[in-house]
Amino acid sequence: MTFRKFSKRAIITSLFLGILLAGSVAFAWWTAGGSGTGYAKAASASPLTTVDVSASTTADLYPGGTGTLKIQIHNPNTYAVTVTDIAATGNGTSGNPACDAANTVSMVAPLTGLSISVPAGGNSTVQTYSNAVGMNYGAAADNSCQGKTFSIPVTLTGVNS
Amino acid sequence: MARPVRSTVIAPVIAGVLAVSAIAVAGTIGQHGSITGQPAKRHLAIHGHVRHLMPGRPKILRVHVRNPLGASVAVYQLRAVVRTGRGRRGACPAQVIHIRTWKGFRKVAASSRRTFRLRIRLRKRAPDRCQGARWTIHYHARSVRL
Repeated sequence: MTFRKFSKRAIITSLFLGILLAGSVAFAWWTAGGSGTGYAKAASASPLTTVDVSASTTADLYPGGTGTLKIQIHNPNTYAVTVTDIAATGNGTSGNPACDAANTVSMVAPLTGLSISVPAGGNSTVQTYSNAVGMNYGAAADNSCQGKTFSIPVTLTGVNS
Repeated sequence: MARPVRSTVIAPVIAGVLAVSAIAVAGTIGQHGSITGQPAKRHLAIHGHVRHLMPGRPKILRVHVRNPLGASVAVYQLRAVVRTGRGRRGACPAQVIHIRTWKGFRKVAASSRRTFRLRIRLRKRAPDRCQGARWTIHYHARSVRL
């Protein structure tokens, strides 16, 4: 029986490749992976509210005419909001049943395309919209509405900013 | 008569097989040679959660990495993958959540725990249906034993 003799080049190549392979395997062996799970939960937005600004209204409303709408918005959330739309959800009320029955006060049209900045946890500046509110003629003339301030229920639409 | 295979091909193969065998044997002894006979744990355990995400506001996600191994490791990458979320208003895509992968080199000693801080953000223009939604996060760590 005869053994084939390895050449010098073969031995060097073998050693080199062997060390390379061993190094790769050793690295693979000594790494340690890990995995696990968790969760993330989003907060829910709190509704915007309005602030009573009745003291700053101007007495410019009369039957058949239009008047100024004043509104200030409060944002209870922890992020700033930009209000883009204001729309009435009902008629205005004065607190006087006789007046409310005789005359109807409402928004002329929804206000859209606005950009009212409301800081996180704060109030916007008082917004003034001329000719945004109208008072129609009642079925019978009623003077009980004179000097009254009307509250109009509105919905506010906005996005976080 | 078949031509004999050249020694330059056979020799590296033999050397490689020997090297792999030697390391595998050594590794087996190191991993399963415990007296109790319990199989040794080979993976890091990771968990972490965050609540009250607000659109556009980054938060810190604290991720706890526990090393149950018998040796210290150095974590060099911690990656989080978010799955589609679900809330009262329906499904919310995972794409609205962005978690930055942690990269560095931090030692976690044997049988101990360390906390990593990842930056998480809910996209500013996340849909309304994402309010109150909950997403599952899968963590993947890469580490090297020290």
